Amino acid sequence: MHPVQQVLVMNDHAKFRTTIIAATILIIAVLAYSVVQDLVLPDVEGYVQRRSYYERTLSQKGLSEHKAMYWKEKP
Amino acid sequence: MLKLRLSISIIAIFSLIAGYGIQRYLRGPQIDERSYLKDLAPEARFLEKQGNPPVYRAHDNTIAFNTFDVLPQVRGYAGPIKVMVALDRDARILGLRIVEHHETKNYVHYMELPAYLSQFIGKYAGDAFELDKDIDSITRATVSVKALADTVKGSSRIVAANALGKTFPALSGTTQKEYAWMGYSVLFVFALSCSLFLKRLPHHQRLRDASLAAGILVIGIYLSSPFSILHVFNLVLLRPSSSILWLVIVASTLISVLIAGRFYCGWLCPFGAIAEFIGRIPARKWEIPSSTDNRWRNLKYVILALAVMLVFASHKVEYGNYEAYVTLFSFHGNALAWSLVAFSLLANLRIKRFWCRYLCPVAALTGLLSREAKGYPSRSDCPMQNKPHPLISECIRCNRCSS
Repeated sequence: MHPVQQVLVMNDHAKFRTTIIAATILIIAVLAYSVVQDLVLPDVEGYVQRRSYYERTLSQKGLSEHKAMYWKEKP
Repeated sequence: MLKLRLSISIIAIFSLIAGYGIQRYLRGPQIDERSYLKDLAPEARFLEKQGNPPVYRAHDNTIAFNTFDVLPQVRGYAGPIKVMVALDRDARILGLRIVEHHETKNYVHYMELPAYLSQFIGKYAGDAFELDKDIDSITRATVSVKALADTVKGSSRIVAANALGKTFPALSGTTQKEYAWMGYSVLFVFALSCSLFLKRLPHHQRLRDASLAAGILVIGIYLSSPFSILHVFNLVLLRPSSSILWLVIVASTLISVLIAGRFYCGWLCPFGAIAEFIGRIPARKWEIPSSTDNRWRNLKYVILALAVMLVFASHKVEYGNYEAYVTLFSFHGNALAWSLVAFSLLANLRIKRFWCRYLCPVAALTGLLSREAKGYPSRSDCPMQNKPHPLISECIRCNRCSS
């Protein structure tokens, strides 16, 4: 049976369960995205920018990529 | 219910303790002020921070300071907004950066943009900094923007007076009157009085519909301040706002929970109102077995516990921001958040008050705080589809069955 037909013949109980599970997954995704956006994405974005700059400019001059680990050198 | 209350309390306490531990031992200093100085005044060479109030002074008499060191009492919607400001020798603002705040991102994202902050640059410390005249206000973020303007104005004047020897006329109290809290209070008292004292009126439900419509217009659209679990998180993390509206919203809702259970959900919540009105559209509702319905109603408590854990362990209120009404009434959110709004609203066509019954964290919180009461036997047209003699924590006090 086609998946659309399967949904159409689902009983109310099954439709309800699917709806609420989908809503729960959405909520967990929203919560997870808030954390990832704050903790992970800035690092990824910074890395992509540094890598891009290295590929476009630094590598042609024979220079190394900036590790951006200067914060570790702080006391 | 007792087990649920106990479990969530234990999760909250442990998360808070873990959060304080993480803050204290794992994290370094929150703000590296020196890293902002070069941005604020690239030409200036600042000495170490010193004086009272503490400021960074450069050889050319440029002054930089953290507003929180000077005026810690000015608060936005969720605690102080800390701003690094640089003043030139004539007490004009050279640059400023927001270095820390806990406002809800949905509402204040424009405020953080350099383009928005640039309108402060060049202003004299003695200027009025009036919203909508000198500084653009931001719809739905008035309290935060006013706090930003007040903290920059007040601290600049103090620093310019102390460090640069400038004199200013005394401030004439609050320049902008805040009447929003009065409107909210009137609506709240009206709705609570109707709910408690006018149950016997023949047109009681029309009063409730009027109250719900006013909730959408006033609390949702005009004030953009539906009661949110973020209010409670800020309260527990000791970051209350100095806004009277904020205090009125939190105090009135929490007190009403003790007096009348989930009255707020049934009479004022703008998102609940929209959900209920959508649910009245004549479309066949799904028949959900009672046992399934009861089981899934506990989901909101599980999600609340998850949010409590995230927020209290990290001390970041924005980690617990998943409420569909915050996205809807702030008119800001990512694709996932908007999907959740659309999903929660459309689901009401088939399941009455879908969000309120299964997902809402405020419903979970008010349910946890609700006291036991009798006199609500429920009936077939119950907006929450409650079975006869439901748990009072599931009753939104629409008074259909008790009037």
